Amino acid sequence: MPTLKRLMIYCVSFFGVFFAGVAIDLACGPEPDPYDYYVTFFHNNLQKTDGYQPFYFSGYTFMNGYLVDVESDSRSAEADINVKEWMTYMGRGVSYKDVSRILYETDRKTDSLYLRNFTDHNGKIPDSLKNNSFIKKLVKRKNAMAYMALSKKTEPLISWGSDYRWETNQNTKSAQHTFALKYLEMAAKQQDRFLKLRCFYQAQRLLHYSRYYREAADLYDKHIRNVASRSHVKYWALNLKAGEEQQMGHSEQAAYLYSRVFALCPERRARTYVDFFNTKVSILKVIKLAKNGSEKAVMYAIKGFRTPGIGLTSLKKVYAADRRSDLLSVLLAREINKVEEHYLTPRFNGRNYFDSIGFDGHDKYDSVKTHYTRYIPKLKAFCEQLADDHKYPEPALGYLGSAYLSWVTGDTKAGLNTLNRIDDTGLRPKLYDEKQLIKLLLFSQGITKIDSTAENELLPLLLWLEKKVIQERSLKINRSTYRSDYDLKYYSASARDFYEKVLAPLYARQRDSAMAALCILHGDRTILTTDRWAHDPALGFDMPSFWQTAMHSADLKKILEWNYSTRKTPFLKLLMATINQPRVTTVITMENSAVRGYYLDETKKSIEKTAIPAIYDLLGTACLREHKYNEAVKAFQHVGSAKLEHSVASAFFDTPRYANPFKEQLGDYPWAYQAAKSNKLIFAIAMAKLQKQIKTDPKNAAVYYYKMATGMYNTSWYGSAWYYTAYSWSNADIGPEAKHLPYNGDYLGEITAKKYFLKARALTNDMEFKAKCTFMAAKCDEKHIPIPADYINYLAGRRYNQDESTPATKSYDREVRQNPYFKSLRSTYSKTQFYKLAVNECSYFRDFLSTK
Amino acid sequence: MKLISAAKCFLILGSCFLILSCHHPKIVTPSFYYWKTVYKNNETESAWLKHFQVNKLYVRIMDVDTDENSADPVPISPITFQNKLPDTVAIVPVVFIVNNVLKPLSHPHLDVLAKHIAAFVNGKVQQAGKVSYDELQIDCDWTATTRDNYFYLLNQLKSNPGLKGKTLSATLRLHQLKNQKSSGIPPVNRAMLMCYNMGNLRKYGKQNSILEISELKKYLDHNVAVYPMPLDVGLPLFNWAVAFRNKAYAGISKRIKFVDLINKNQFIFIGNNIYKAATDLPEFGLLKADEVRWEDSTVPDLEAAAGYLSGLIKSDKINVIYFHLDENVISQYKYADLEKVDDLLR
Repeated sequence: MPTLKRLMIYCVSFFGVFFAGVAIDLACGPEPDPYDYYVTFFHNNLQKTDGYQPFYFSGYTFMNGYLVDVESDSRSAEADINVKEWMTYMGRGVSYKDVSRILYETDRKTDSLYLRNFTDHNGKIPDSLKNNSFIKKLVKRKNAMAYMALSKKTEPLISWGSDYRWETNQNTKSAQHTFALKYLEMAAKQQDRFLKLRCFYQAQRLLHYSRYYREAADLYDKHIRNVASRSHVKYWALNLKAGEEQQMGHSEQAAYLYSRVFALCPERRARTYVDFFNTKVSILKVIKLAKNGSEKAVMYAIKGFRTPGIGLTSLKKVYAADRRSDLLSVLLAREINKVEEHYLTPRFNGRNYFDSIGFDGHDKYDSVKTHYTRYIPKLKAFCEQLADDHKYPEPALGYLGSAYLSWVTGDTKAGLNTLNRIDDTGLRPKLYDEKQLIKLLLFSQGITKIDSTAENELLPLLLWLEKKVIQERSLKINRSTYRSDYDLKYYSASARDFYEKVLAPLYARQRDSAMAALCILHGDRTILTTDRWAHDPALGFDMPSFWQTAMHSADLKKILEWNYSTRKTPFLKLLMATINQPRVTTVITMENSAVRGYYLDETKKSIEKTAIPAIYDLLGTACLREHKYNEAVKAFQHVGSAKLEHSVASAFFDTPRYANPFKEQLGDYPWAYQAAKSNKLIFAIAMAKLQKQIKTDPKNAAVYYYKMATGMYNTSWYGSAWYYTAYSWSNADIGPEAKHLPYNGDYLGEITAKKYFLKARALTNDMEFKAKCTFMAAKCDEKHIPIPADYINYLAGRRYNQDESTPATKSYDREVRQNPYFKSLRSTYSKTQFYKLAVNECSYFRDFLSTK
Repeated sequence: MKLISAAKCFLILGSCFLILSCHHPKIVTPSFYYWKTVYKNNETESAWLKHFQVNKLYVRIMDVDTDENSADPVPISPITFQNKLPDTVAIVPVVFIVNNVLKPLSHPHLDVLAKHIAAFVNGKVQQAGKVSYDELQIDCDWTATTRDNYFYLLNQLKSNPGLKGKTLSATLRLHQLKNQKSSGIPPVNRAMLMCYNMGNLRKYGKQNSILEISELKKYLDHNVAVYPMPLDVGLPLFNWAVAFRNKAYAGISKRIKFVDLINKNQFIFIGNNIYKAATDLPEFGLLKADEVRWEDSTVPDLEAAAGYLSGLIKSDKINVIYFHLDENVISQYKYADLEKVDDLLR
């Protein structure tokens, strides 16, 4: 029976471990990236033109939830455009940095003392601007400098800086009006078209913000509307005009103009999207103002971007209005992304995935699935129409959408046929890459058995993907605004998901843990930089959950052998390269400073050259779980004591302290620690020695068995040295919700420890020792009783004197008090000293004695 | 009921004491906070000022918070005056400083901030139609980590030439009164003891986090007598609905009025001050079975607090400032209610 039970426990579902690992990784991670919380291979940036990022689908929060952030990005984009326009205007020899400095970064003193009051007579450039290439040229162009000086005077009247906000007399209306007239005067005298447009725009702004809406709108119509210019100033003026129409009560006209700015001006897109809806005008009314199909398409698209649920209405309306609209690609990606979020992601990550990341509203997966099963063919039909009509300039997009949806629904053949219809000639790189990605997915889906033939078939596409990932490593990420490591790294995220969710399961299905593990690691390390808290334990703790929980020593040894082998297939070479790929770790420390309070410091960086020590740590740990102590010693020797000690002592305790795996104690708690160093290597050496002594010194075998059993018990979930055999510890590890792990038999069930305590008892004549062994066997035996689901709740209630017991908790309580070894203790060892000790220490035992 | 009895008891005992010792009653000067962003004359509010012969109004001038763009402290939602204050009513400008603003500021920054505040307040006082003012009140929930910067700022304000000869007062929250050692004593001329917002708002239960005499007692007691400066008393006149979902705090729902809670189609009364949503109520942001705790500044609670405070404050003059003067709030009380509270403080 024990053997059978052990086998039962060991023979867990491979997929169970696999998906549990994935789910736990995700559940315990940081807040998900709003654009990387669902599995996506259909990239949302396939459109020709940029500037639609806020409208990519995220069911997490629209526009990331922060219009302020989006607007801040828009402000930067606007500033960038303005700087570049000035650079073009000024001609060669003017740097971006210098223009930006004068336009946006001068301090109050420079502005007020120099720029605002600039005249020909105070022309001495202040030291801080002496080397500024822009100002040097500007002072020589009288009109331009006069405009700049005037704008420095008026800008505080519109864009309030923090100083200006401290002025109580903010009745700026008359000042704004006065300056508007000055701009008009300046414009009238101005021959320079660049400056003239800006003067009118500034006048319009000032009139607008001083609430002379009619005058501002008239000014726009008269002086700006028909100016032939490519300057974005025209769009910004149009945006003001839209606001003016709204303020004058012409909401439909306002909405129409907002839609125009939305279409023409990416830096104002998020703002005008919000403004469009703020007019509260029915789209049916605004659409009548559209001058052509393209303008109609924009309005339908704006409405479509506001639709969080699936539906083809907007796509179809946009298509009907303007078959060439690039907005179709944004809307189509949104619909496919919705399918990925609701339909595909729960299939990969488990139906409870969304619950686990705190994402409400995904608890009805079955009905959602039915809903989507009906929707996908309709969406696919639209994709095909888009492709076959040949009206949309890039029919490939339609084929890609259709082929991808074929993959989603498992129709590999149809998917590949559709892909084959794409003409690669003149295909935009983004679409070509998407095609490669979909091809990889379809090829993988067609694999029934993964062997060298299949690997060779996949290899060219994997190498292509690898190249894309490597290219993305050089992408500069703004750390102040980025949300996750995968921000903007589309192929790194896709590669991660492909290896972990598509390729690894193919190997897992064939029970090839080593290859599955390599795929997972390859996916995990698409990005070679990582952040880590200073106290994180590193080594095996840094490896993916699958490596920590699902692998046996044989699998790990195989990987190490491959590492040292010089004869790797190109496919294996690709995967194995990950192991020796250096990773830069930014070590984060949290400091408590009297001056600054708590703050994070990220200055320390370390480079981890190879994952080999981590793999040896995992191998040693697997050997401990499998009681192969000599092998464990060899593995841990590759890591070394210092690393092993640091790995745990710094992770779980404020000051270094160490578990004593051979500590004898009757109760499980409190866990005892010691200052003297100990580590897995020392433990493995001791266990190997005991194993040997059992054979070489059979007379004292009982003592050796007892000590080994104690070591096993203390390195299980119940002991202070649990981290010798596991890489995480949680209350959720036990009970009915616990994940099934191959080593749970000993880690949670104490099967071998019990066996060894009983062997020790059988081999001794000492009644005291026998009693102790019996008691410890009782403790091990107790671990086999299944803990009911509501037991934690019951215990919590007990703490507050509330009876939360249920029939299941009562049954559990009864069973732990009827331990068969308690009977033996009472009948055979009641005369021993240990018996008294056990009575004193163990309330279960006392309860047992009192009920019989 | 118990609280009403306690209040009555104080009243009776107080009266006995008056007769037996020929005790001169304290002079209680009632006043109000004006905590809106636009000042305009309102008939009801003016009638209350007149009835209680209020001769000064504590007017919130602005919040000071960190500017999103520059990270500098800036005025947030400063008050605008559509009308001038009545001639008979003096202004006590009040500036609320968000505690976190103070944390990163160096002394030179605080010097600038003090100058800004003084100038801004003076400007706003002019807009209120007043030539000057006698007292400036600073409201800040300072903590041990911001204490030093806050006190430095107060000292800078005191020495600001624009505030010369003026009283500088500060609000004093109950925890700051109780934990005098860690909170310190602010370098001001007087403090206003905020006798509201005392309980645990976020905790599920039947408590009233706005005003609860048992909570008040935990903080005040002998701490009032030993506080080394004159104390004014702030009392609440407001209510709100605190929403809980699965017994976890969900927020204050400003849209819920008491009259909504007693609509049986919407809420089921489940005891004490707690109501359960009978159905999904999207207009209030509630789902079926969400619970709402109604918290109020009831007249019995105010009376009990006044009776209790009267015994603690040794000064023969008490300024009581009600939070806050707003037609919707005060219309829930009668003149006699506050007269009684004032009486109990005497």
